[in-house]
Amino acid sequence: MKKLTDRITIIVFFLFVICSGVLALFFGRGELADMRSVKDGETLLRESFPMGGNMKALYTLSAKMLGQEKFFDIYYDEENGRLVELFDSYDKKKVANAADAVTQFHSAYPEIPTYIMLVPTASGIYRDKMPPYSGAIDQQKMIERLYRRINADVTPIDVWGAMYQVRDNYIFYRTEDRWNQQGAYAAYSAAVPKLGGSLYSISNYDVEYTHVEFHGSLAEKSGIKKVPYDRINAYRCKFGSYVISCDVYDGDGIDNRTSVYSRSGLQRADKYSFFLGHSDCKYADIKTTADGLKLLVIGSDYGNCFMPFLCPHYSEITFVDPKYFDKDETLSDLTDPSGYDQVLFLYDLKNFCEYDGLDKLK
Amino acid sequence: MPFCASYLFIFLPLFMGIYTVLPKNRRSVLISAANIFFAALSGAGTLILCAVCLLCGFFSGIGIYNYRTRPDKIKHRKALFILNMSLNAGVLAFEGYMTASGGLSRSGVLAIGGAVLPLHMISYITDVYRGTAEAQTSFTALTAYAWFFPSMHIGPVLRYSRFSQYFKAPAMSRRRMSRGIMIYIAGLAEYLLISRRLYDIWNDMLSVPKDMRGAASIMLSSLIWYTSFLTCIAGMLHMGQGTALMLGFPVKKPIRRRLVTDDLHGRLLGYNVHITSWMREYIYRPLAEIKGKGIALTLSVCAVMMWYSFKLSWLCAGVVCTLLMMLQSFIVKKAEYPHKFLYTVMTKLFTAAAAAVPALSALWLSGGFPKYKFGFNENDTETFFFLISESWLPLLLGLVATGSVLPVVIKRINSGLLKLLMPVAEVILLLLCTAYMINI
Repeated sequence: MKKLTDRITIIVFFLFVICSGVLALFFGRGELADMRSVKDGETLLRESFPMGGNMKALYTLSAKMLGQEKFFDIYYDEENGRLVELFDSYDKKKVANAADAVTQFHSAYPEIPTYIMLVPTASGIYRDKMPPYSGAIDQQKMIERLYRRINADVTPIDVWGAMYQVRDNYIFYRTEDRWNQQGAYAAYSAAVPKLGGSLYSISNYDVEYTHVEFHGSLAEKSGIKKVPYDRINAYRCKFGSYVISCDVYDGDGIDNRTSVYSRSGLQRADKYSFFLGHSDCKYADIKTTADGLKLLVIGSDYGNCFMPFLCPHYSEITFVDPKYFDKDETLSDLTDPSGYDQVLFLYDLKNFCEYDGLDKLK
Repeated sequence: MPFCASYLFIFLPLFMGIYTVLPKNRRSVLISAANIFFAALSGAGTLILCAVCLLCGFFSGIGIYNYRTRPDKIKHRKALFILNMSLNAGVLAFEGYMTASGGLSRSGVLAIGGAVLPLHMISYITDVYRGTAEAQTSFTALTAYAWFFPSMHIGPVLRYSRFSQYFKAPAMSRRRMSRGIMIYIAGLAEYLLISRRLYDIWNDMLSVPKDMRGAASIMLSSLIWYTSFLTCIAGMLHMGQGTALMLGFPVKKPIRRRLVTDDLHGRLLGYNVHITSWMREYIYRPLAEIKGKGIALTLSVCAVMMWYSFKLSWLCAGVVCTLLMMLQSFIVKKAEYPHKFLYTVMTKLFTAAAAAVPALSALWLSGGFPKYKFGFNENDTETFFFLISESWLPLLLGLVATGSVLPVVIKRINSGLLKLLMPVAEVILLLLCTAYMINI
């Protein structure tokens, strides 16, 4: 009996490690030729391991049983059925540079009214629902500090209160690191009076259910799938669409459409592409039938689902995301800021803190 | 590192394949090559430092051995001995300091463990000096022993006089291979599933604001730290022992677990048996003859603690440990051998007290303690319940399963069914460990 079990133990062990190693190295996703060091080998093995998805699920399941609630910087709020990407650290120098970039931009174009809207992420809004040691940053205080740092002539738009009031509603995607249109509407209700417009109440909108349910990037990254599916909904104005054209440039070419919503975006892995057709566009130009001012929005993809609410108020909205500019490209290569009546910096706090495009706003 | 995916899935099968087909007398060459490879991964500085130790030790060993029968060379013999002791002690202190200050990445989640090479070299030189072993004339055999890669991180520390014969021609056996595999997997599971989880919880506790720390959460987090440390040591040692057994080296179990009737002295000796017996052989006994048992004990215990982590808090833990050992001995004598249960409880309390020193020191450095240290407030209750909800299962596993209960139970159940279940357990643990290795 002992001999038999010894043999089985040895055979099972070496069969497992040899097969796994060979499959990972020679049949995995990574390239063996790119391996330059032991560290590269370790990375290659991790990324190419056979049944990597199943292994991640197994890890998540066993870690949950051992009481773990945080997976790869994502906190699993089981009680409320959501995944929250923790924002617990930032580079102080980058943050200072980003704030100064806004000030410098306004100094270059002092005649254009400039606004800044920093949107808290789920990590900030739900901070008090997370364990005391989660390390989540107090985003309300941080946004206030940043607004104080930026030039006083740049008008800050505080959306914290409006979003916090409705935080028990479905305002952030449960499995994505972004807000949804319900959250964007809450911010819009606080922002539009500051921008000089009149609020379109929620009763002016019909909510279109796209019947697309999905698990987003946070579920993929953490391996937790026991979270309710997210839904993509569209807020459509009852009085018809104001949009005449919506031209989106994502680096490959220009996508000319007549709506800010794109059903073809729902076919992509990133369902957020429903808004503007691309989640990674560097430039979008929206023309509407409204008589109004021209607005330049500089921001991150957080603004994509916010755009539809601005359409009734502006005749033209140009959105640019400096993150996707080409290496030597600057803002003036894409558009002339002086041709706009207002400029709005629209960022979620996390992306603003990682903003690295100081010289791209020339 | 033995808990990395590349070690398990690339290095180990490749190495074992070549090792198995090589003739016995060539295997030490392969072990030396592997040792140098792993040493090189630590950096050029470490490689050079250790190479200097090795070369110095190699030539000194031959000199010390050759001079043993020459009365005119006694002084030279002593000088060589002192030179090597000083060099290796210096390297030990340097590596310990570098590890503690973060300048040198070391094994395990707690970045603990001094270098093993200097300990092996001290063992070699001392055994040759004492005449209990012959000098090694083969440089590859000495390299294979001194830099033995399964022991490289935290042990098991091998005594030269006991293991030199095995390095000449290591012989593999099926029984040892099978045992080695199971012990390696058990060590991997201890480290990845329990120790790392507890260490993450400990790290979370370090980032809790000061006003949310109270007596209850501080005590619980000390227990979490202690269990994380123990399972980390146990896991790493078992991985080392397992690999050594696979290679054909009969390394004894590094943890001697007893559920009851173990005093603090016995517990300290039983945890990492190899390092404590090394300390007893090469530090305690020589010092006891010169300075007396009390001082020898204090210095040996402090040396063990400092070897784990070259920090003041660990030195203090060593002093506290020694004092508690003496106190226990005094109480036992006065009480004329108390009841076993009370004796066990006393040991556990004293162990916790000694272990609390490094934990409390780290907590203090990370943010301090609240004003009312011994009170229970609302915030402390919240932190405490968060900690308990996250840590109860890994704590239970760490303290009960890997501490004393499960190994004792398994040993006492000698049934065929249990033997049949072992491969099943092997597969389950392998899958779990793999899942952890590629995702954390």
